[in-house]
Amino acid sequence: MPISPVGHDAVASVLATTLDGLALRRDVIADNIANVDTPGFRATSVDFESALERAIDRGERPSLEVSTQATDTPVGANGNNVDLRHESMAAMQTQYQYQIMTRAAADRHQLVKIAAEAR
Amino acid sequence: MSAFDTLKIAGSSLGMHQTWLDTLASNIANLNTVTSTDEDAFQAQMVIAAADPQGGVEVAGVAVSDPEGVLKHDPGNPLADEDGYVRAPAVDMASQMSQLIQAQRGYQASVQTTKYAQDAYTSALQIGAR
Repeated sequence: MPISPVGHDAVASVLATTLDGLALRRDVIADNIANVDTPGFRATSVDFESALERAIDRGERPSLEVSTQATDTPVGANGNNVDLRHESMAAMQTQYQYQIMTRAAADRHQLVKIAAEAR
Repeated sequence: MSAFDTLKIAGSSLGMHQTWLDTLASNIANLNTVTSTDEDAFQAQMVIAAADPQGGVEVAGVAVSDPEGVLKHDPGNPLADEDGYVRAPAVDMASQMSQLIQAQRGYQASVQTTKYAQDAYTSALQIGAR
């Protein structure tokens, strides 16, 4: 569905999708970290950016389209392939991205509020 | 992957690692606990972790070390049998200590996860606050 200039706030929709995607990624990283010592556990990673980028390129309304895949990190002696260093860095990066996006959403909200009050 | 929630996942991890740390502490405390040869040796506990399909981790069970233990020659011990042997636990300090470090690292990583979750929830609350 092409984005219509009236009735649909494309920026808000992208912001919301991104926040949802980052929250899901945070959950998956938390799950990987929680299972760092679980025998046989395979780490997974979340990709939502590819689908979001495609939606933006095609002018479609973005929705949270997530693909989760097992990571290809080498498997250790107990069949577990969680790389704690990698997961910790990813957790930090996701956290900062999430904060930047909430800031952007707050600023966007403020803009809409100013515009609404200017009449 | 529906009921995922960062704090719940991190909490399950803290719980599992806490249980692991507790059993390691008990194992280490009893490393030198010897028994007479007609009794079972102290059985060290080993926590078995399993991924929770709802997200997070859980204690799937606890395995115990061999009650046979190892026979130690200690003729001066009041518990020693006529040949001078006592029964000691079949666990060693090095494996318990390395597991202790591993469990502590896992616990710390999940503490950090809860901090990230708190910060994220706090920043989400700021969206409509200004």
